Amino acid sequence: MNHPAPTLEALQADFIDHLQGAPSRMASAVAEGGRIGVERRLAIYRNAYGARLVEALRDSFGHTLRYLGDEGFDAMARGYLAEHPSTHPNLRWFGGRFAEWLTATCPDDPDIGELAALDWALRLAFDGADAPPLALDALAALPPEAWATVRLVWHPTCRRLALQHNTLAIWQALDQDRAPPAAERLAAPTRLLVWRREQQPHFRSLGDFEAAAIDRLLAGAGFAATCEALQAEFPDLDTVPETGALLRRWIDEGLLGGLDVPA
Amino acid sequence: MPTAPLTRPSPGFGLGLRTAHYGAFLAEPQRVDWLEIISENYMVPGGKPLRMLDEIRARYPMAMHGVSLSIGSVAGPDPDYLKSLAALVRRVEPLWVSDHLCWTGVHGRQSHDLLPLPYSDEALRTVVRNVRQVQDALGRRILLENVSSYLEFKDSRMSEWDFVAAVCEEADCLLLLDVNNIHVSSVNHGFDALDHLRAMPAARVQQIHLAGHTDHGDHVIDTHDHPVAAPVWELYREALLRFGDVATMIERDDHIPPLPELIDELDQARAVAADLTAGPRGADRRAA
Repeated sequence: MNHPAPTLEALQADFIDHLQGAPSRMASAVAEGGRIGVERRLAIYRNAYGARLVEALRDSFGHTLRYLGDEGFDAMARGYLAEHPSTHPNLRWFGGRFAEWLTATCPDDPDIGELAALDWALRLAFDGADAPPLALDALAALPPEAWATVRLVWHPTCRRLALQHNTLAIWQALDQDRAPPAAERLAAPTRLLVWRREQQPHFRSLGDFEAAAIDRLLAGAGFAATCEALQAEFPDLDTVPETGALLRRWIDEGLLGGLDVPA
Repeated sequence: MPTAPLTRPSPGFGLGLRTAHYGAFLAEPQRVDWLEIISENYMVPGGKPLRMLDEIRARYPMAMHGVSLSIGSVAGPDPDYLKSLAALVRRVEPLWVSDHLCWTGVHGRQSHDLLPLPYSDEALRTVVRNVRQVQDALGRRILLENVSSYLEFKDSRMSEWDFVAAVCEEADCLLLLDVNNIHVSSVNHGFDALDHLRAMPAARVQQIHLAGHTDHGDHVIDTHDHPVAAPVWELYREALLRFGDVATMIERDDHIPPLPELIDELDQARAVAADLTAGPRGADRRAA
């Protein structure tokens, strides 16, 4: 007896099931004949699917790949693919939850997830949104009364990352093709700022004072309010010249995209 | 009454723009008439990809070639994808916009592969409906490319070539004829590539793709990591005899050689075309 032809809806659902390794009725939908059998024809698509998505992760997580080695990385990538199949039409976004997944999957090696988070943050900075950098002149042109309310507009690629392990040293060793140091937990976390500077992803670590300032400002606090809060938090520092120096540094580094003076 | 042609005049011989060649294209003029970009590579918020795109676009005409439109999906085109594609079209002002006659995902489940369709009435209706929606959204005819495939469905009620021709006519879209894909599928499914070529709607062939493949003996995979193979060059010649002066480009996506090597290969395509237009034999055969 002939089975009725599956609808296109059913066929497409079956095809994706097949690619993802779920039971499917694909074998009964494919025509026999030619020099290779149905199973091999189906395997070509399933293999290409896995290989393409793993390759996309290799491309986005270069340091994590070097850290884990080809075999170790691919095993992780396939595990991630099985649990988080791609849902965005652009392959570019497939790795969005890989770092988080690695952290959950490798609880004894949290450095792996941190390294992947750093890779991804740099990837996001690479093609994140553009903004013209704030010029030092714009600061000088700000009327004195505006300083009470002005907010800093950060470059859209600015992102803070906290690393609990010596992940930065591991990343740097891998970046220079050196053997990475053994992973170890730090007494105090490395506070990292990631952004794009002159078309290149960039990062640097922050001291206590700068991290406290940036976290408040990135959260939307006004400049004057931030200075006040910092003075309370760091009573031994003269925060006005400290903050002024930071402001100039941020402008030099292309971290700021504008000034927002509420009307 | 003469009617206006459906296609634009050929801009000549092009290459796919790849990151490895950004520097070469910016450093000095290259013997490349136009470039084809992979649309998705520039459907990103900003940064270097878009900077390079703008700078190179200022020097070369560009066609946009997508891989994720999923024109054969029962779910229809993804609205966000379409919006992002339309924004890129406004930025690039391309010669034309193409994607593949296939499907790549459905209901948010993405394969990121060019999956084959059954050549059925239902698939035809689905593609035609989707093409019309995309053409309305972009305000222009799009090009669809025939894909390589490694399997065929029991439900198919017509040949691949009849399906491709029917889509072009019924959806009123244009054709990106991939000569390598015809060859690859002809080997994998045991048909005569010339049967495919003969059925293509000549008035709708806007562009030709050439590419390399990997021969596994009993089947062939469309890998774009080798130079164009001899049988594909022969098929290209046959295509030009039928379709005349068609914009041609070479795709290379892996094992990407230095630009001069690809330009040498492009010169082979130029030579095939020049040989046909120069010789009386070619002229006679085309008129026939």
